[in-house]
Amino acid sequence: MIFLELLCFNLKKGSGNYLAPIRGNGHLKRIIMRTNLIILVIFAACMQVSASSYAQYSIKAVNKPLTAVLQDIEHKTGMVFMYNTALLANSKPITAEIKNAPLNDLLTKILENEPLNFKIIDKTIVLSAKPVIPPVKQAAIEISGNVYDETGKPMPGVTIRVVGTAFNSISDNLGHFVLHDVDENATLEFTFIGYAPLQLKVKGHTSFNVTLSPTQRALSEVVLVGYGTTKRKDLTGAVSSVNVPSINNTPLVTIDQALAGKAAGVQVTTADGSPGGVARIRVRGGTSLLGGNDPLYIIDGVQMTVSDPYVTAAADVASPTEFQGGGDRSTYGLNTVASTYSRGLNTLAGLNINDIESIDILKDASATAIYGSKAANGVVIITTKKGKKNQKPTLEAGYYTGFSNAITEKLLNAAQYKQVYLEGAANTKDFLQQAGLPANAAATAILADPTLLGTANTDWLKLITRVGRTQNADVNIRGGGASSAFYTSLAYTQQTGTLLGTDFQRISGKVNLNNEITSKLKLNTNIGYSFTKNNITNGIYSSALYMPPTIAPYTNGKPTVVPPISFGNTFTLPGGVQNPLALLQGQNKANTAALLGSLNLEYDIFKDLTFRSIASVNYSNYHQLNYTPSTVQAYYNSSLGTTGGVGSQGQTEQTDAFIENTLTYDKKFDTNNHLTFLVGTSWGESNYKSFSASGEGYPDDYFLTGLSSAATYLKPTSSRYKSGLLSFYLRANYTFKDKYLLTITGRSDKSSKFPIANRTGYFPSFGVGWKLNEESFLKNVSWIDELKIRASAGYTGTQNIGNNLFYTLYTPSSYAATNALIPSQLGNDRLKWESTLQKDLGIDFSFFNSRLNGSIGYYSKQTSGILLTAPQPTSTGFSAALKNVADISNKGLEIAIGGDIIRKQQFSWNINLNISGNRSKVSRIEGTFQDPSSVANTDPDLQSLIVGNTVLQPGKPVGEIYGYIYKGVIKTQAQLDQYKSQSFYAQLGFLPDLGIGSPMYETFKSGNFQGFFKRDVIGNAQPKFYGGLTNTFNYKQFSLTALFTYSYGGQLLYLPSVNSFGLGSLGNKNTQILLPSYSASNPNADRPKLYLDATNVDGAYGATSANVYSASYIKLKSLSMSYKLPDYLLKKLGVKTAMIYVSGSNLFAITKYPGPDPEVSSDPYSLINGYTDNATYPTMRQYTLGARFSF
Amino acid sequence: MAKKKLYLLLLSVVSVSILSSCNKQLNEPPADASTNLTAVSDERSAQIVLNGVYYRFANVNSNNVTDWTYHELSGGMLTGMLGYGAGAAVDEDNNNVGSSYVPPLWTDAYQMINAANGLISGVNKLPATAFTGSRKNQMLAEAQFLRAYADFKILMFFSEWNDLNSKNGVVLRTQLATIDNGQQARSTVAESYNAILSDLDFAIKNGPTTNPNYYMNRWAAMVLKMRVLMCRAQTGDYAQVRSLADSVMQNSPYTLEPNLKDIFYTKGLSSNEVILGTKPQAGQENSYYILSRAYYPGASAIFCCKQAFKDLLANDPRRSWMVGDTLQFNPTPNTNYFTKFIPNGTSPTQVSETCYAMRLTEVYLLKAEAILRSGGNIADAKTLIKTVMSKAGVTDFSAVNNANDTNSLLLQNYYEVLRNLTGEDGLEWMTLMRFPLSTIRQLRSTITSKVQLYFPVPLSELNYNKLFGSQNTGYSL
Repeated sequence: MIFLELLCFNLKKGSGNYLAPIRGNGHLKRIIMRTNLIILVIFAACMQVSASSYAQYSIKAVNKPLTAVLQDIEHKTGMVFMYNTALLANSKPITAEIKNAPLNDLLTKILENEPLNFKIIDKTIVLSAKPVIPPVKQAAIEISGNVYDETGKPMPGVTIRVVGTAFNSISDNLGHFVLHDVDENATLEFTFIGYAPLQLKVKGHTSFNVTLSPTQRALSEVVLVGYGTTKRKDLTGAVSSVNVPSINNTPLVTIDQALAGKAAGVQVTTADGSPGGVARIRVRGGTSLLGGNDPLYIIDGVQMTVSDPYVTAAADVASPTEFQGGGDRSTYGLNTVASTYSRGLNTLAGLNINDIESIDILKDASATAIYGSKAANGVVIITTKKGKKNQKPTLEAGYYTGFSNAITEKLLNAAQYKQVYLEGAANTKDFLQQAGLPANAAATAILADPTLLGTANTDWLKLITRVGRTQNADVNIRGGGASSAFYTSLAYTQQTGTLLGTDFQRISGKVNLNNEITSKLKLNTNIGYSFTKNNITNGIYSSALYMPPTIAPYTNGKPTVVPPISFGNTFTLPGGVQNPLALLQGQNKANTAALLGSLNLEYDIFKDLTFRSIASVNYSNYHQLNYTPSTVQAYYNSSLGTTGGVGSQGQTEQTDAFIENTLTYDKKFDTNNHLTFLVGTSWGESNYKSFSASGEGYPDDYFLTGLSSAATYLKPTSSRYKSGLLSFYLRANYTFKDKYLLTITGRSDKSSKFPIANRTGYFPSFGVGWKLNEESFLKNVSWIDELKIRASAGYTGTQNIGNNLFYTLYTPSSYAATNALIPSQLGNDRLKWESTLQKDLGIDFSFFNSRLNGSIGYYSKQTSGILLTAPQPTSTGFSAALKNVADISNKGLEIAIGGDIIRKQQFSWNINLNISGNRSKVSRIEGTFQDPSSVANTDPDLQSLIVGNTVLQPGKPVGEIYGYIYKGVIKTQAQLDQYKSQSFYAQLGFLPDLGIGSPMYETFKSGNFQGFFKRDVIGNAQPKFYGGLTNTFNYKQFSLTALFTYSYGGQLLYLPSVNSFGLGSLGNKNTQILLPSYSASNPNADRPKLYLDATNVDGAYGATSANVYSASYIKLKSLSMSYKLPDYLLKKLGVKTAMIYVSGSNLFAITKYPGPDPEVSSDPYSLINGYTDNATYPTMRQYTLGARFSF
Repeated sequence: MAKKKLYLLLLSVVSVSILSSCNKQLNEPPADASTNLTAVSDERSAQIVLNGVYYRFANVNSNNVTDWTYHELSGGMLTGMLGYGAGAAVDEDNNNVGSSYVPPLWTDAYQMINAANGLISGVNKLPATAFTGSRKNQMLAEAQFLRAYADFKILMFFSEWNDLNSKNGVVLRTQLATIDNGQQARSTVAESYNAILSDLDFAIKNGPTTNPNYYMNRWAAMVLKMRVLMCRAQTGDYAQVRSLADSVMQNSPYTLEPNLKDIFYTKGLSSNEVILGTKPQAGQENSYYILSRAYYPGASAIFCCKQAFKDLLANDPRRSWMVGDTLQFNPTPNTNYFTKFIPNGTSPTQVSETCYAMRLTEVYLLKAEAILRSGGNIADAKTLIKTVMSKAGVTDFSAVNNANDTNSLLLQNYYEVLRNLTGEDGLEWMTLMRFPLSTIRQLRSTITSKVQLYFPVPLSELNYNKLFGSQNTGYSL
């Protein structure tokens, strides 16, 4: 009986072990040994000898070896022990004192703690091994199944273990596995590096189809690369993946804003606080001066290029801030509504964040070159959620509501305003008296009757701001059958801005259908649509900054007409200031309808060869309405009067269609050689149609503001463009021994934007990777999960520029009431692609079972042949033509580190930190441009490469701020005399009030413009480093995510401080004016004395070095806390999952910047401009409360 | 397997055909823009492009108004007749380096030249049979006339026009500008004259005989040729001027306007005296930034006449309407509204916005000057001058009658040019410059050097046209 049991036991053990493919030699020995024992037992059992059982024996042993005790017993009893000596290997020494016990009892006692049984057969005592007590016998079943990855591909090599036993198995090449004799109540555990372990209860099931989900941030996760996916561990390029869950549940409405601080090498700056507005995104620095510098977005395979849709309108209102700040004088009149508009509109606004499944940012040439001419600024690949096969329909719904407060300028109140001006008036009067000059009329009047400054106490900012309200509701349904899956969603967002009259609305949704027609043919359709509405300020904020707080907002029930107070022609409100409440009657609205649709066909021609075809369309229809009421002064470039309002309507329709075909050959030749080869072709066509019509003279400002009501029609404008891009591309990935990686990509792009001779651009790249952890010398280092070195180099290009730029164009017009065509653009048939050579070196690592992972990368990006309009000899009939004239280099280091500080069942704490530094430098600008100081030597206002308040010059960084140089306050008579002798303006008598306490500015010391105020570089906007820090805490059902973003070392031109640098006008100032200013009692102050004249800014009409401030900051960008309802509650409520959350954004910032927020950009599209805080829309602090359920 | 191969083959065929059609589409010219390759395709489109050259001639600006400010003001300011109302312009002191009213002529002229070259190369690509009758040559003649007009402006203002041996002439452009041909050397003065005259000879031979007077005809080409020859002043040139004048006076349909004032105040281009002018755009008179509004009431700019002009008209009936009230706002001393084109106290009209490039009066006075300069009959010259004066309502001819030598009569001729043609197309400045420097100095004390008779070439040309050559003698910019 025993031997039968033993036999069974051993066979079972053996068969169990037999399943395990890995067997050591030791194991084999044990089996042979056991077999010997069985033979022995059989032999012993057959002997049938017996021994006396009735005699009594005594024995005493102290720590005596068992063999010695056995010999003693043999000696005392005359019995013979029979055993396999190996049995005694594990015996323990014996300590016992037994007196007068029968043999049976004695043996029982002696062998009590030994792994031995005994049996007395006649005179022989047979020793055998004590059987291991087998587990409680239950029904055992055979289990089989398949394991898939998140993309539905079979996963080989997954370990499947029966929990609590040593039983395990590993899936084969088809992802298939079998387990025999598994307890029907057992639990299976599936594990694979880079994937979340999965436990499943068997519960009597015999067949399992299991999908594993990758863990976040591990080197093995799947990342999207152009036209395919790859494992992160097999990448040779630099790709940052954004943790999508961490951007959900934040108050950020648009995807570009949500990317802030999320990825190394990706700098995100919120342009301003307009609802739904745009952010400036630079992936490893910008590369284009003329075109956009935003990355290329690929949304579910559909390409999307960010652009500024604003249609120039006749009705525009000037910005007093920009008026005072200098800027680009040729266009300052168009700076308010136009630039606010540009920042308020967002190409990506139609995308609902909750629909997003993954975001991968491709940064280096090895990754981006497959997108060739569109990839120099990086590529962001976004996929949206899809249904899963064999999933019963799930409905998920979410809602949140939020509140936002404007972070506004701090302005003088009425009392402070009066105090400041009275002090200024007194200073003015004293100075003029002492100098024997005629009295200043304004000073005399104010001192005689301070009520002339106004008697009201108005908080203009309070009048035009409000608590913004956000509401967002979204619902999605997903599910799938055996061969189809679907996902559909609908979302509605409504956001009222913190400024009156501004809001954003969005309805967006998508339908995604995946169909497996046959085992070889798949067809996917994807349609995303959105309707967005923007209502944008008419410059009310800028004007509110300047309106004196002493003025009543209304007079006789109507907005007070500006200027309400003035002292002669010179001392009044600055140009462009209007009553914000009058401006509020204006309209600036934009409606956008957009559709992203694609049809995707996939056919497996052979086992290893797959054909994919995608047809996609990106359509948008944009409508813009501007109306400037009759009560408001409009600035525009025509010569019309302002009677009766000016209105414009513009319409733009853009259709980008693509057809792309690829063939993918994926072959694993043997365990050492794996090749993936992709070839593809793509045809893209872009059609753009736009028109704008304007009229002026409307019967009223409220109801009859449609174009048909206008008395006079202005010349309408219309344009139509078409461009095409024909591309061929290939990529080969070769992996040798799973250690050495090689990627080669190439793309040729043929674009209608370039002349025939240079139409085709070639964009090759290569990347190599070396997985050190696979090498024998590191293979056994258990704490290294992954360690990879990668390097790449390659070319990419940009073509986000206008159409037809290389043609010599004729523009239609008319003369003598007859059509005329005039040459309007000098063509350049030698125009070339802007080309970027990017080199990249990086290390990716994952240590301690993925508890610490990250990457370090260094890159060098050299863009050459950057297009810019270059001056031409005017005898050509043109002043400029587009040429490849500049080179820009970007070099940088980026580090991303993440890890689980605490990884417990109940509590976890994860940190992700990224830090990047980018050095952007103009390496060449063709000789036709000169350094700013010499340009100014020939003409101080020449702006050939000076755009607004910025300048580009060879050998210097991008982002240089340009302006006058403040030299401090004149404190002594000697300084005054010297300054007067240097300043040409002073000598001409333009600065009669120059005296002690006046400001000094740098002047030219020689040249044609000796004595003129000098403009030069006064700051640099480029930060030394920037990045983000995300902390995620999970405790039981609670989760807390905190995102800090930071930027260090950059500067910003703070335009409102231009106004508060003196009392040159009656406009209100920010509280900087209260900073210590020079006076007899405060001679150490380095701000000029308060004085009622433009002397404080004279000559330096515009920005000066005194207005440039450090824009370093660290801010709590978002904080979000969520609570997942526990299972028992879910059951009670009948829902599958439920979560509630609260979050906040822009909660606080640590910064020395004097303005409300250092993270702003005046022009998010441009590389040259945009480093100005022009305070046209305040940023905001937001709080939301939301819930999310699924059924 | 065979089926799969068939699919692959089919796929390849479809792909290749799609790709070739894509390629074709890439090479298509822009759909909604006209390029140098497509602008001129037939007679009608050629006419439209030609009208574009006239658009440049009339200098229609971004406000969609014809802007002849620099044509009208440059001559008047340089001769001391006209000025800026709110602080004198440096041009009034013959400070050519700081001039603001002459440099824009450079750009305007070259825009016109480029437009003309575009038309010429476009038309030349089409066969004569593509045009009705002799329209091909007529169009070429019109374009060449306009090119000659612009080249002559460059010659007279930015070249050493009065020295036929000078190498500092005009950059003679004959091709539509490209990025490559932008680099081109200036021609000599002699070559410049020849090129202009050659264009004009073609225009005289082939130009239309009749045309609305905001377009050119053969008579206009003859008048321009007279101007050119008068300035070149080589052997036989004066005789040619006289014979051209005779031809225009005897054979052309033009007659002197019986009452000079009617041209500017009521008739405009409908006057039978106007050989060539600019036609204001529709509604232009309502615009704010227009020239006649800058004369009266003085809007975005204020141009006025100066004491010298007032004095010159002291006993002339023209004073009553050409010289208006004293300037009201921030006046430059001794200035009055210049009301030649717009009556005092009125609003701009289409007529006030009309500009005059050529009037028959000029032909009379050029002929008189040619007679005098070539030693002709003084009495003939006097008759010509007096005829012109009589149309202005002058009855007292004593000054002309009393001038009995060539030089004093040349002066009388100049004075009549000033009285009659000031503020039109720089004719007064050209007439002044044809005097010897000593006379010029007497007439304009601010001119002390021959160098002041031409202007420096704009830096925008010198900096970016590396082949240009040297700056005009006497200027170091």
